[in-house]
Amino acid sequence: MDLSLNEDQELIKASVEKFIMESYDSECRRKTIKNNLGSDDKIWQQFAELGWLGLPFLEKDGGFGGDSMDLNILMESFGKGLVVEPYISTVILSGSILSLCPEGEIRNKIISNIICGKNKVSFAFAEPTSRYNLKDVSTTAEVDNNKWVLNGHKSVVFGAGQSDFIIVSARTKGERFDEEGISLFVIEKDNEGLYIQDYPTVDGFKAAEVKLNNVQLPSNQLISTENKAISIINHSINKTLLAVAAEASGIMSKMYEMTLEYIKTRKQFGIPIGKFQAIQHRTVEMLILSDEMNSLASMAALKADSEEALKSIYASKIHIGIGGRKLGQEAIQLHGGMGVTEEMDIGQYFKRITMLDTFLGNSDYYLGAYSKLS
Amino acid sequence: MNLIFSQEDLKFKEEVKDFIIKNLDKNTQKKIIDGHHLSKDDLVNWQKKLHEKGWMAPNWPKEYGGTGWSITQRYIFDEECGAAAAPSALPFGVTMVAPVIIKFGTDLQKSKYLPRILSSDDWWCQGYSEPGSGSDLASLSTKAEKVEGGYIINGTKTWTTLAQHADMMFILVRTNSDCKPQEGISFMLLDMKAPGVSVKPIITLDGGHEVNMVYLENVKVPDENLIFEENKGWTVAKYLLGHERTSIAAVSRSKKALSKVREIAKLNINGNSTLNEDSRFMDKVTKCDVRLQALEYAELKSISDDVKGIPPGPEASMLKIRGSEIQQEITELVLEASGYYANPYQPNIMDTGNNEPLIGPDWSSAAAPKYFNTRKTTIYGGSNEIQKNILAKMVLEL
Repeated sequence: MDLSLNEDQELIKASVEKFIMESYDSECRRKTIKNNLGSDDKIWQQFAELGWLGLPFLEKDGGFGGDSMDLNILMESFGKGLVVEPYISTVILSGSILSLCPEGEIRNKIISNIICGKNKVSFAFAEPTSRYNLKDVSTTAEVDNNKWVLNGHKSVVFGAGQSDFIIVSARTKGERFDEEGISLFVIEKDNEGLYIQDYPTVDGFKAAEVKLNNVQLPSNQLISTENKAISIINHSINKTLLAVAAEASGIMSKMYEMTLEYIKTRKQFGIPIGKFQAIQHRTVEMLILSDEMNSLASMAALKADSEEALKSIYASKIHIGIGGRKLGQEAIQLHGGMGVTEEMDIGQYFKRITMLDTFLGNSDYYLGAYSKLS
Repeated sequence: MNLIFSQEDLKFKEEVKDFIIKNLDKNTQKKIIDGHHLSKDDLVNWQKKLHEKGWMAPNWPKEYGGTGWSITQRYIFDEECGAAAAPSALPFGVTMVAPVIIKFGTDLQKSKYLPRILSSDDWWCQGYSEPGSGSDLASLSTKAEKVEGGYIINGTKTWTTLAQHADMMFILVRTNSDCKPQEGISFMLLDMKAPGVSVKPIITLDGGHEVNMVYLENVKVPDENLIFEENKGWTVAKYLLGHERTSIAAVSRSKKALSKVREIAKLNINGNSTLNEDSRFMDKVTKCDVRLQALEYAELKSISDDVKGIPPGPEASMLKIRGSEIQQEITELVLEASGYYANPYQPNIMDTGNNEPLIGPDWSSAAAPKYFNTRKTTIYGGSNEIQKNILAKMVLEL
């Protein structure tokens, strides 16, 4: 057993920390949010050059074959820098889906275009009333004249408005909640019948409502095995949760640090408020919550390919909702009025950690899922 | 002791209900239900309706235009306004500065300001906090220098709620620096249109413009605008704090918001079920409800004392602590219920003239901003930490 980083991992860590430090300050991030395009092309290109867009892909697909711990290291720093570029939606979530689909011309082309930074991709799975149930798919795909015809409404699809391709889960067989009968399709952004209603999210990202109105696709745009996509979806979501946990870990440790700094400098009653024991104990609790997040995210990354993978992945997601929320609320409270201003960065982190709970299933959802694991 | 309504009370309840139905603007009501910000007009229109009916000031003595209601009537009125999602009157005038003017004001101050508060012709704001003086309010440094006929004020006030609309500010200023901090503070009424006053927005986490910085540069306040005596402002401020007590717990509003959560839980938005069937979620709703019931009784006791003229004690701090926490918990529940639809950011969607379609259900359209914004309730009005200090000192005598 060895819990220290190896040489390659130290290199990734150093390069991403350097990037955040030198090229991704709060002003740069706020500029990206303000331009309302979801990302900054120059920065996305830098991601490509630094090899991050290819990190999780297999070498046979042109990637770097990074493992879960490599991803953890990258995402933790992204969390600290509060990166708003659509890395999770394109590279991790859509990237995992594509990687798990059988090889084919379209799949391979999109993967290499992701890696070089040419294309962005979104995965559209949630529907207006599906909440976190991935099997709740009402969007339909039917065969008509050797073409697939898709109809339905996918909700809150992250990055969809800026993506070149949308991957959609649709029902090719069975009833609304059946596990069997879900398939994956790739749709080009300007395909007829595809309507994308783009909007900003409360934490600075971009998402969209995706409506499919008789979208016609040639047969090769079915990219999964027909009717058998649910396991690909589940695997991809679980892989994404590893990244989300690492991001949360970075966010929480940064929020703890910022709060510690604040209570050392903010003076009331003639002394820094950090001198008050009531404040000290609460800040120590934040340290523990942040440390727990780091532990759970690291454990999940290390166990990603083991039999206990789900247990540790779910545990980390549960802690985002419970521990992350608590830490976030305390960080704002200890910043007092300043904490609720748009101007202070602490609030930007608070918004992101809050919204991460809603992403891919909240803490209640995974408490239920965890309890059902044997 | 009993909680029974008489026939007359029940008649009054019907009268309140009827008034609200006839006078409450539907769009204003919808904004409140869905957690959106109200405009100045939304609020003033409602307050003017209340004034026409003579119901603007339940907390004032009758001789000044108060309602003269019994504790039961005040309870019923609050309850019905909460249940119907009617706005609460802006507190700075009617709830905060008015009781101060009634208690300490000169005849001139009473006749000049009270009628304009009742009619909502003046919009008041509160000039207490400063960048360096939040929880430690007594350390405030905005200076008032005595000159012929009045004072010259210099300094900066912050977190001034809705100062962008304000005609008047009640302000705490330092008139003496050579004494204990509390003993050199005065309470004054400042005209926001006076030369030297400038207001700069502070945008909050939800993207809203509710609070402001107010810069005061050589602003002249005439002698007649001093309340009570010079250097006795702390006494006035403490009196004011006690009179905030009945509105601070926000019980009827929280009851309405929580009942809305129960309605949301009945919707089929949870994959193949409703949140109603999810005991993890519903237990949280119920726990919140339990605390709200306890708070309701505590608030009633407080109103009862108020009606009998018993001066407020430190229990107001308990109401503030729990009331603010419950408001926050409810916004958490709506946020959780929203799932993915908590993500779209759609400010101004409810503004008059905006025809853009809403993303997701109405009730979730402001869930996240409302949650972000409501973090303020445990910070403002004396942070909950300060309230606990007060209780530790006054009740626990530690």
